[in-house]
Amino acid sequence: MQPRPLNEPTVSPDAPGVQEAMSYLHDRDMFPELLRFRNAGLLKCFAWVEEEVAMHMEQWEAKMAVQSISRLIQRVYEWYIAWEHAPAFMKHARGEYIALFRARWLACLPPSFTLGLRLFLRTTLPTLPANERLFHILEQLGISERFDKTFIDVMFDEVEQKILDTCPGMWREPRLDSIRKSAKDLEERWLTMVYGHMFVRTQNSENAMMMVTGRLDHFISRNLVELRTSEIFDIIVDFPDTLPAVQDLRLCMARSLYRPDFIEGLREVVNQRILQPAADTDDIITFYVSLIRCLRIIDPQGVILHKVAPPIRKYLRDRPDAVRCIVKRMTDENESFMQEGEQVVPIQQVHEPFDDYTDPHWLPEPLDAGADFRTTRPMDIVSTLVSIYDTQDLFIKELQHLLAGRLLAVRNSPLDEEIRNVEMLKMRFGEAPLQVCAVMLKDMTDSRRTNTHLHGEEPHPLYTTVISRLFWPTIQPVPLKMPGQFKTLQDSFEADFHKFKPDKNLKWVPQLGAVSLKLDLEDRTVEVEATPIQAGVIELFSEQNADTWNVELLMQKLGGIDRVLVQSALDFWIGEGVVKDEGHTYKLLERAEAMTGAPRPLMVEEAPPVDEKEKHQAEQMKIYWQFIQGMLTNLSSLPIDRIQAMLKFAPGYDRSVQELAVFLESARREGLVIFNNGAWKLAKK
Amino acid sequence: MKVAVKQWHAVAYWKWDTGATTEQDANADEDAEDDVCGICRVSFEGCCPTCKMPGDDCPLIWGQCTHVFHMHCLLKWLNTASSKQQCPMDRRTWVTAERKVDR
Ligand SMILES: [Zn+2]
Ligand SMILES: [Zn+2]
Ligand SMILES: [Zn+2]
Repeated sequence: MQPRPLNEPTVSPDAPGVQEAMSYLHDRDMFPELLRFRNAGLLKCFAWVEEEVAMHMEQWEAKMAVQSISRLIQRVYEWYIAWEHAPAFMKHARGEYIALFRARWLACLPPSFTLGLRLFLRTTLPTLPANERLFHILEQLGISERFDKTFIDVMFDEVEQKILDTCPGMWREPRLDSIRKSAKDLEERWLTMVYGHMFVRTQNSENAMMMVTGRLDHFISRNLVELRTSEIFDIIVDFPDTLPAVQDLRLCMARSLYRPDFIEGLREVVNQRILQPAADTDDIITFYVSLIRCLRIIDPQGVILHKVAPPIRKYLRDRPDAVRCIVKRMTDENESFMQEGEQVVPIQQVHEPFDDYTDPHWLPEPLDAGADFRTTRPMDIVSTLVSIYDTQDLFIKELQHLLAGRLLAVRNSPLDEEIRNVEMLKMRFGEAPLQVCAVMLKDMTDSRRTNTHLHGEEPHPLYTTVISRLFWPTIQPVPLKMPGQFKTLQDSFEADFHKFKPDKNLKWVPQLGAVSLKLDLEDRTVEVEATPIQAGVIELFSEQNADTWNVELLMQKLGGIDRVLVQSALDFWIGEGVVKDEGHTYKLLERAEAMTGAPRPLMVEEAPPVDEKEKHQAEQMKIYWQFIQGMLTNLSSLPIDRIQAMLKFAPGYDRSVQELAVFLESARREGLVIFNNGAWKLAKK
Repeated sequence: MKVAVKQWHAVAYWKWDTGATTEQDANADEDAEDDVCGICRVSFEGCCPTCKMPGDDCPLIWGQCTHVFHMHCLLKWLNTASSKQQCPMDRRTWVTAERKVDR
């Protein structure tokens, strides 16, 4: 009747002597007494099981090898079976035995068993069907019931592992579907294995399974959203290649449950990676555009964008070169601001609130929208970008400048692209604001016609773009007079033009444009692209008996232009090895000299002290002061990039932003300008 | 040294030859540049309120009284009853001057 150690032989309860003894006790109604005796013995002997459990658990904790858990379970089951034996007629006591055994042995398990079981169970997953006996044992020992949560955890672990194994960095193909599928598959096999033994497909088990299924799907969504949120920067940057990942996100985020964390993650990324002084404006715009496109998929109603975009928009608004970048890309042929099927939205409509209840896809505003959220008219990318700013005047101005620069740079290439651009922009900004651009383009085509008319189809050295001055960016006058053959070319064109258009006169803007020159020298030929001022200077050197000049004389001969302009043209020719600096005069090099081409400042002034150099540069910049003053008068305040960009229209301007900064700083010290909020403005007198 | 101009891309702007200022003060033409139409107050080199393109599309018209206007502005003016076919500046009967072709 008493439990024995496993290695001792047991007496079969059906042996003849035992049977007799049992009937004797039964007849005298002593079974309850007998049962108490047996249970007492069981409790006493349970110390053996306890010892065994302790030993295996010690091994487990020492080595963390799941075999310890496996052995422990095997071993305890052996005890369980060994002590289960009882005389046949005592079978009604079996229930009591099972309860007692389970309670006792489960009680002696340390907390670390939970983890051990979890890991052990995971090793069984790959060969689940082969483990039928194991699950029977687990159920018999009460493990299935007591640790039911662990069984579920194991399945979740497995799904999580699957996500970690197959999803990170995999953005170019959909993952969600296959994760859901494999989870479903696992679930079916696993739950049948676990619950199938406990109750055979009762209504209860169906319910339990349904509940687990729902939780598992949540779990997949949450994990995938978490993972993708951590990768969101790269996903956005690589969009549209990452479209499948973005679509997965949309499916996962169908429950708005994960939106707050996603939005938080997105904001963090934007703060850390985008809103940084080191970030390139162009990159910020690219990111913003991709972000808009991604979020259109993830959240078509635009709530997330509404929560994430404002800092980016504000940041771009404060970036001095943002307008220019946007305009440049708006007009860039290779730029795909427009997606297929997208419609150009006139910008005037952008700020109007918009609720189209006739739209069959209309949805009420989402719950997390917030009070300031408004369903807005669906905007295309350009409208979205332009709406960063309160007015579109900036864009028109910038467009005009950009177009002016481009048009004056084209030689004889077709204007189709620019024309198409302006047409497209008209749809956006409306006809009126773009009228100036239309006039500029017409000037270009008219000029082509005029040149062809005057020169015929034959190549002619002079091609003149005749512009309608009021419709182009303000051009600062320079008193440059072109010498020699340039003057001859000008005069003959001017006369021809007046004959062609008797009611019009021509006024040269001599500092603009470009000249391709070929210089035939005694020992060499130099072919070079020059500015008109540079061309004028070298033309003077080519006059007879005029191979030596000083700056003052050149200035005078060129119509009284500023010293700085002449100096920088001379520097250009020195750099080309055509002219040599001889102290106070400059000499033409009919024969090349060995030392030519070396940059002059290095030879003349050996690294002047910084202050001296700065002063020198600032001195040279003075010529541009009137331009800067004019700009700041008209536009009140400008960031340095804008000043630099506009100075490009000034004749001969070739300073770097750094040099401009040095100059502005010295002007500030003189009290001429003030610097505030990243922009320069004139000091009030 | 011989300098050969392979290609010179130059820029110029056009200005109406209003006769009066021609050659008179080559240096002062930057100051005189803002001659405006007495009717619409827009520069001659701009265009009248109904036009979009300046220049040949929106030409000038000269009166014998020496006043000059955008042609469209003047025609519109003459079409009104109150004009009495007079020059809006000096109220003399409008007579379009023959455009003297060239110097
Ligand atoms: Zn007018
Ligand atoms: Zn007109
Ligand atoms: Zn008159």
